[in-house]
Amino acid sequence: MSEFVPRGADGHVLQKLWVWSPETIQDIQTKAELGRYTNRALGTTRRTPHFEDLTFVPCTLSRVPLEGYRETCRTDIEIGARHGAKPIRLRTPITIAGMSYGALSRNAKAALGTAATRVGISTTTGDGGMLDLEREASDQLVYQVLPSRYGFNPHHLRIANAAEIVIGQGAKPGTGGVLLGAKVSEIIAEARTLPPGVDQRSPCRHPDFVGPDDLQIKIEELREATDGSIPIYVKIGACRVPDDVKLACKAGADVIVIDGLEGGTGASPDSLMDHTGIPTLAATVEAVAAIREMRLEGVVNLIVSGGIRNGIDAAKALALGADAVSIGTAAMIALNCNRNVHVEDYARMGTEPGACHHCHTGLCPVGIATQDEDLIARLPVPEAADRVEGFLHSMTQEMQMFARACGKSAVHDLEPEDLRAMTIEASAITGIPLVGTNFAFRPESFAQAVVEAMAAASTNGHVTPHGAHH
Amino acid sequence: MCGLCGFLYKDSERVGPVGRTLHAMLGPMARRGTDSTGIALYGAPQPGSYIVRARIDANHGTPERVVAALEGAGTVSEHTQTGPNLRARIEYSGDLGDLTDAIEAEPDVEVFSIGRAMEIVKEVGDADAVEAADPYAGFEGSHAIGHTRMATESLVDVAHSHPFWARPFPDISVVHNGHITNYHKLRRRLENQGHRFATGNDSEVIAVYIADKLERGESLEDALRASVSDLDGTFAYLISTPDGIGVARDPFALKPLLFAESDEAALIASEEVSIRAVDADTKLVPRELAAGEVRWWLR
Amino acid sequence: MATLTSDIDCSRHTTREINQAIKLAAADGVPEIHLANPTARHCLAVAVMQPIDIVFDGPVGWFCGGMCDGARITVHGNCGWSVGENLMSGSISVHGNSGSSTAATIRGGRIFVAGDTGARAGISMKGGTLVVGGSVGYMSGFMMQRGTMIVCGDAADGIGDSMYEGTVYVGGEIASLGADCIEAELGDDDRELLARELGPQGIDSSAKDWKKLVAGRKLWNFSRHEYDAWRGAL
Repeated sequence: MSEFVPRGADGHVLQKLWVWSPETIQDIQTKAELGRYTNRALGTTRRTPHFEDLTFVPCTLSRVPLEGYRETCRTDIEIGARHGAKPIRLRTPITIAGMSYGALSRNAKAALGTAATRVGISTTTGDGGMLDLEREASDQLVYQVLPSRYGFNPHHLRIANAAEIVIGQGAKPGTGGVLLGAKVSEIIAEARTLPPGVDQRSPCRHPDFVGPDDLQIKIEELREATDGSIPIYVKIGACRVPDDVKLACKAGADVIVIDGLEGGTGASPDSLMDHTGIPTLAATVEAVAAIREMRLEGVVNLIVSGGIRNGIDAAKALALGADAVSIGTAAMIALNCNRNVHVEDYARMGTEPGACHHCHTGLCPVGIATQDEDLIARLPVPEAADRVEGFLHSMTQEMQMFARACGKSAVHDLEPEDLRAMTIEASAITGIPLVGTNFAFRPESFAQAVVEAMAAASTNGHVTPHGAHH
Repeated sequence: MCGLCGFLYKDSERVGPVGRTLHAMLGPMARRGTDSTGIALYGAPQPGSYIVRARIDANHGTPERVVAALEGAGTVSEHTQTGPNLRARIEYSGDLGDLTDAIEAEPDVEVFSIGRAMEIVKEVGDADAVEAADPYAGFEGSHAIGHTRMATESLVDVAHSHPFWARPFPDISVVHNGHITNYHKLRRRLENQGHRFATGNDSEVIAVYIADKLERGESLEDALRASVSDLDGTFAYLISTPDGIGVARDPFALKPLLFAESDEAALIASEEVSIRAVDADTKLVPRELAAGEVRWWLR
Repeated sequence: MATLTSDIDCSRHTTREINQAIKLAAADGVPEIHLANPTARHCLAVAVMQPIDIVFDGPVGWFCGGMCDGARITVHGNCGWSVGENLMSGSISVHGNSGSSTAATIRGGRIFVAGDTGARAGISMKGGTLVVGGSVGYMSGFMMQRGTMIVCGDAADGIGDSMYEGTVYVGGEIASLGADCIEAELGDDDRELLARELGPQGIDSSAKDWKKLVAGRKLWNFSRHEYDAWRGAL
């Protein structure tokens, strides 16, 4: 008997089981040895409903496209002016997300700041405070206020260009952070007021306020501390987005940052990364709707982050109504994360370029996510800054390209009308019609279709098949 | 997420301007939320009759039909309509649940409260907005609780505003700051025991929970203590009863609550600024309720 | 606020005006500023970065003295939550009770509360000293990293939970210790510290039966042999 696949005992077809896959088997046995859950870095392994599932429908006959390279396409935006503070000016609607000095090396932080300044955007401090060289390198620096308050210094707050109260992040909403002992070096420990080498657990709540009504008083405190001169952001991991966004608006946020399930992190439990939060695509739609419902569109600015990979994703996020996107992982990859060099060092961590998400080990072969001096030397700042600058320019060009193709002279004029959904899921999540149909797979559309069918039946005496339209 | 306050005269004979006191206490807390504001006030109880407070958000003769429904159920000795708010006094000896149903049989009618002494007034907006829509600042009574609201997960409209009457138990209501995270489980349990809920707001379950215990003969103290372990989530709440006020704070002390008292009165509030509004000379020194602490004052 | 003043009636000004006046006075070297009728307002004397004596003739609200560096604040009354949060240096004295999160995440300086505090006093402290004449509430000293907390009265449940290098002294009763919090032996250095800190407040430290609390260090690095300790911590 010829065989296509091997046989097992008693002749059964040998195959891997879905529930008890090799990955699951190994996971159980690892946990049995460790006696705790496992951690990793970067982001989710899931294929989520994503901007990838949308496509643009540019101009052809029914609309007029704009010439690239000749007819200008505006990309700039000012954000954070709701309460009269000096706004952050973004020459292109991208910001560099908060990543901690501690998770990242000082060279990485300096390179990001330098690139951001050249391109005319902002960077953000992280869980660990503000580095002097970060303030020097970055023209516009957003200062994070985190539950841990590690390295928090009010003097730094007062020289920042904006403050970002972090309620949570997309990779692990509702929980604090974990930095394993290997990364709590002498320098980092001192900066965080911790004994070196401890497994540092960050709290999940802020020490000095609890709910959204308290947040309102905390925002007032930050304004008093800075004489009302800088915008106050509130960053939220995407969960119950409509409620959270409305509450942040009511508490007085000038800018809201929504970080979806795909968001990155330097270290987090596996379980949280894949099983908490909702995808950035869905979060964007809900956040935009919530701000509109509060009648604060254009007054409270929205930045979305979490799995924004390029100008394509950014353009789609803008089309859905975001004011800007924030990139963290993509910026690190532009720096050199997962670059195909020092392959033996990747191997020592048990991985290889293209598959590395081992930031939590502190052994980053390219000098980004490490405090080891020898490794940091592999990331000279000038070249790293050039790479990030190049990537930011490519993102801007992509956004402009889509905008022009859709007949818009400003990337912020992209709208849902310019999109179609490639899957029923994406259509249901965004309310955008499915390609090849006139129909958005949402309850309202079904209800509308029923109403129209009944109306048609009562006038014509029979039911006419049709699709509901936008 | 909200601001809470409460006031009580300790002497069972004493009444005073509780309406004005609550109005003053609510004012400084508007910053905690101005989606809506509400008060439960206790006037002089008249045995044999109930005061019905209802919201009628419909036209075309609905108020008249509601009064007619009341007249069909009992003897209506007085009724007034202020905007959409109806206040009526009815001599009635039947089941209050049936009476509530009879009133709410009309569309767009909601009963805010039924009690021998308790009257609930609530409106979208702040304390001044409530006073303008349905004046309460002149109310004389024995005790009162109040609430300013920043809506979290339910709708911003009057129906979802505090105080919640523990229907159909007369003269019991609750104001709550926080979020009950086992709301659905508790609600199902109480519904299985025959209780009804008017809204999807988690705070309402506290009122029904306490009222259920009181009806079974438990003391207010025991009901409050049981609630600290039975309710999950964050909470500071005030429950008002015919003869007093009870308060409780969750075991993690996550929502603020202060109280101050003299020989004459007890005052409760989320923030001291509310107490200072009626005690500018700082005669009363408030303190925070401890984690999991309960307190009650009975006239 | 056109003229510089050393006396302010808070009832006639916005919070922003009050704070601007305080900061101007501090910058101009005014030694002391009195504020009447604070009536428990929030966010007063936030981020005052120069030495100046600030006296509140009445209770203050939340976040009083937050993020200050060098100012000396006195409150004749209660204060709300988070008094002196992230204090860098200087001092705050509250002659009354304080709300929850007293001295949250302070890095330096000294906070004194004559009465009782609410829950989570000294949460996340990174330095500095908190002295409480009365008792402290639930979960006080939670995740304390460094610094010293002295409680003359009682401590509620969970004192010193998940500490790193902070030290807590309790003169009264302890309801229960927090996770990984243990009692350590009191030495002469400790007694001298207590006398030094409490003497100026007029409190006789030798009259109390002090307990010294520090981290047991079982939650510093994960160990699978300490499941009981880690069950609640991770």
